[in-house]
Amino acid sequence: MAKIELLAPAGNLEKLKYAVMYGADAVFIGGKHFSLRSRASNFTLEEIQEGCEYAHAHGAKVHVTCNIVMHESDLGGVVSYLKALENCGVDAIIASSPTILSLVKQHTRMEAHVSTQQSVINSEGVKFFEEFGVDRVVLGRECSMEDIKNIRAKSKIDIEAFIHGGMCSSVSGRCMLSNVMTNRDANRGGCAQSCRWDYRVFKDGEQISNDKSIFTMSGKDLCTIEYIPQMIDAGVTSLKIEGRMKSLHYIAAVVNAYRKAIDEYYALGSVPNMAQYKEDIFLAENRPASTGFLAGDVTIKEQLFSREYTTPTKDFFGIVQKYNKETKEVVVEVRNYFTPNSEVELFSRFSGRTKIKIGKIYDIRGNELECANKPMTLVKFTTDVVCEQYDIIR
Amino acid sequence: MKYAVSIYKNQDIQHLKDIADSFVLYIPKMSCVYDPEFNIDSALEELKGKEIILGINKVYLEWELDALREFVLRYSGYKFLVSDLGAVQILKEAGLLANVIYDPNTLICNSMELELFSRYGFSALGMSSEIPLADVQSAYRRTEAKIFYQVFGRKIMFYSKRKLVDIYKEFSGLEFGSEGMELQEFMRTEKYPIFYNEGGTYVYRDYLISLLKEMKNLSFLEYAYIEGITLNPEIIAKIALIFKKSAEIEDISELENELLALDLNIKDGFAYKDTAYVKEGFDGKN
Repeated sequence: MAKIELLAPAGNLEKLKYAVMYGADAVFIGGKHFSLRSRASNFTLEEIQEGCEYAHAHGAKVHVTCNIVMHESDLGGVVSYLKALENCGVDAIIASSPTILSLVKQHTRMEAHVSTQQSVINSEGVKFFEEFGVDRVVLGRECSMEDIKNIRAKSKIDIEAFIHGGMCSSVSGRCMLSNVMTNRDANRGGCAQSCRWDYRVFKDGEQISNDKSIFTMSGKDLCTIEYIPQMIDAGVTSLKIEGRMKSLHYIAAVVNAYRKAIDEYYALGSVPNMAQYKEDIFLAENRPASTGFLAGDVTIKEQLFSREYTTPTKDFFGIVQKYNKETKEVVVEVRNYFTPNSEVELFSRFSGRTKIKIGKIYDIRGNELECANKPMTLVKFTTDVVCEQYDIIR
Repeated sequence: MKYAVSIYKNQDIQHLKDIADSFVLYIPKMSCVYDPEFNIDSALEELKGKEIILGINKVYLEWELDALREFVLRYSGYKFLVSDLGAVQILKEAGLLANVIYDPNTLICNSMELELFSRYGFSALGMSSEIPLADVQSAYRRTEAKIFYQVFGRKIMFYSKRKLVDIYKEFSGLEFGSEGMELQEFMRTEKYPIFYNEGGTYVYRDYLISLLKEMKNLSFLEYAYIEGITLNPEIIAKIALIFKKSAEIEDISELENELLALDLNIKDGFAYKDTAYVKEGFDGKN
């Protein structure tokens, strides 16, 4: 049986490269057309081509989402767009529209993957799409681990399951809260996330909730790293991390944690370092997480009440561009403000986490700085800790 | 065009059985929203000779499939309102596709989808209520598909498998019965009816859709559906009668006044507006 695929999100070319570098077997991205997440920085065809070249050179695949529900005015240009994506080297199209899925199979050699927006949560739904001729179904996030095992056992095509990231509270693709409340079309990338708002509760016309008992529909994000062994044993084809709009730091840290857990399970038959990988994720995570429906019906533990948001315990300061082993000088591309004489952490895809003490900081010309506060500029400092290009300073 | 009305309670049938052409029955455990007291067999007995459509409109989890198969085979002589392609597959294997009205609520929004699903030989296809009427008309002109379309009543806008009300009760410590619940977002005045059962949570729009003035332009519909949830059966009967008459007379202003006199919160929904969507056209050059 082929090794399970780790599928990561990428909102831009840089994130795509980091997802691959930090361990993704495949990335999913949005193009400029027919894609949800209209606010995500979706890719031009040139960027998609560059992304495919980079991914393929590193043994990874690229899936492109074309997962809007088209209205009459959206119908033009689908086939030519799909062919353009194929010419860029795209490996698979993720779509909820059976029309788009069927056009992918008719007009290209790319794989057709049924998006979770089709809300397939049973084996008969998978069978429908098997007979329809697609290559893969992305299951709805309402499936328990037991459901996933049973569906996998009864299906002949690839099965993809979500393992990490945001959760729709509604059955995906069936939610019209945003459309009705804000006129923003959830199925065309405009979801206003109305399920995450606060609501009062009325019974027979009388308000029964108060400020301490606010109703929300919102669930905690998904984090299921503990289920990796079961997912692998079940024969799931691909494990999906959600979050095309998440930061580079988040993508690198989360992908790397899942990568290590997967590899460790294949090598040892267990994941002795699970606690460390969970901690790696929580250091980059900014929302409370749970295992969603995997253990069965969601309970109060999986719901989000009282705005119980957390912030990441690690800020993302910069990316290592160069390290000179002789002078011990490290050149860092700045992403967020940091100061001299501070303690930070080096996060490496090779060596994990190491504490670093920063002394003086200099600009690239050697002028001493009071702080590193200009994003995307290069600064340097010295450290005894050996760094690799693309390590993350946080 | 056939007028189909929803039936949630056995006692509502007597008010509606002589007015509508078809009856969509919502059945405990099988449908999304239902009355737990509803008895399907006595309803079928009372509606003998009428066209019956059984609402199996949930998105089913794996463990629910056996019960669904059994139900479909037991009631194979009737039509089914279906929302899940897994349920469609079960009906396909039972040789019952001609009995299926496939209505995924929000997912059929254009003529290409309509044409693709028409090839399955369904009894009808439900088009989304979140697109302009002009799109529904244009999709019909391009495909001549048999369309099931809601012309009156509340429309569901949120369907979750999460038991949000039970969880909320645990969180808040409040105890209350299941009927007459509404939600109100903090910055708004509208109230949204909310229902729940063992299958999940369902939230409806705050207003009733009415397309009465468009019924002449919608004469191509296979089914014009009147959804009666939250309304009493006498009102639903009056509304169904108003809609039926609208097909028979030229000037419907009197009927419109009759509808207004019922003093309901009526709007035209997305009939004349499209949702916001910023798109970049693809000309092959990107």
